Amino acid sequence: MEQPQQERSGSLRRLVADWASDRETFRVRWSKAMMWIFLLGDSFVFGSFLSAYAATRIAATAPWPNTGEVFALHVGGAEIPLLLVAIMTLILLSSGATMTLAVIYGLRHDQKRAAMWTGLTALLGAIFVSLQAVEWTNLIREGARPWTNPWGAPQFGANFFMLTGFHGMHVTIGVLLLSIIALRTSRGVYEQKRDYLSVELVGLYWGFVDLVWVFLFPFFYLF
Amino acid sequence: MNKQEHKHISIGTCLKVWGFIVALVALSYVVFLLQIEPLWLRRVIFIAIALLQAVLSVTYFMQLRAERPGLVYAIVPPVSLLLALVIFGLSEGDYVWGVRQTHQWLTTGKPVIEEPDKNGGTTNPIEKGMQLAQSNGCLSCHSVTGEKIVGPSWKGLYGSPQELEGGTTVTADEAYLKESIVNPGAKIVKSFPNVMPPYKTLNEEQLDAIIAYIKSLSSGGSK
Repeated sequence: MEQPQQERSGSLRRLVADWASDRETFRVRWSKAMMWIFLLGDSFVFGSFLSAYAATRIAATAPWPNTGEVFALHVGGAEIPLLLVAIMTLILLSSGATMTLAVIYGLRHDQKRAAMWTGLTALLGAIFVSLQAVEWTNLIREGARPWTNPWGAPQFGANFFMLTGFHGMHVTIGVLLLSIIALRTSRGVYEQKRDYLSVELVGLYWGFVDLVWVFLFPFFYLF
Repeated sequence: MNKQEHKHISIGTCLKVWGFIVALVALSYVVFLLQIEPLWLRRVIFIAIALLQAVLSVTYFMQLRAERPGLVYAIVPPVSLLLALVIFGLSEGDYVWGVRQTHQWLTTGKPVIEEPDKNGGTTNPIEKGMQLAQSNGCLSCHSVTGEKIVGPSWKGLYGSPQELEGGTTVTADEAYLKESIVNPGAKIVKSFPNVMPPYKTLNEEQLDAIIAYIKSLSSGGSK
């Protein structure tokens, strides 16, 4: 394997060593490499949506709807702009942290805690999707459609439903995966194999779902 | 199993990153609520926060830093290229916007409209100043044709010498005009009555717009 000096040398040298060693380059488990490659592809789906959003928003001749007003939440008679979305953002980004804790406990073969934190992540994800359903319902009731809306540029609807819809679909699939993995962890499936790789993999997927929202929240809602 | 186990993050680091990300979400929401001006500065803040959150989430939550450089360098550069895609999207959208404006001009004969600002109003200060002068009633006493109504006409006013009560002469520059709007009694032009009410409710931007309009009515003023 590696020499200790090599471990200390720069990352460029280690990169060359990775590619030049006449062995497999990605010295990780194949399923982990596959997950990374899948996420790489998926990032291009969202990247395309985001650049389409940029292009259609800048090309719109009608004024862009004021997201603060569109997504305002009534609390005790006052309208607080974007409150629901801000809460959703906090929940989703926090679930990224709970998932990381699950992965850490998985690496330590702490079956109970890994199952608990994975389950909690699934719960937070489910809350996020439910709030998103509320958001969609409100918007559709107020007359937002992919081709029109009462507030301004008609391109708003298409972008909103595509971006949040695709992301919401990813969250929903994530919640399903997380629930299955939490169940299997608590049943001791991974403990028996002495291998918590599945928790790590779903952790990667969940981190990606998080990452997409990190860009959607400022670019779609705050801009 | 994993020689680089030590590179996986600890629970303490995870909690710290969690707290930091929550603070960043709160910060971007507050920046949105306060509607910090100018708009470009707000957007720069949003982009900076998003990039910081993305780096944190990939490094710590997806634990990319625990992976080997061969994998890291296969993932990070292609994803970063998505930024270029968004920039292409923006320039394409900008072109489409221009085509749409030209099309409207050619088919309806209506002038190419000003790009609306976030309030849907005009961004042209001269036009804005004209609207303000009308809505605040300035034009019922100040003509723009050179005719004397109650107060001095605005035509040719900017940059011209004004003889005051008491014999001194001042140049009608920006500072003088601003003072005369906010506190009209300070300097009274000879042979005019001191009857104008002070307009203290106008903000700095509105004052500048009105002065820009007055400037545009004078050959010496910049158009």
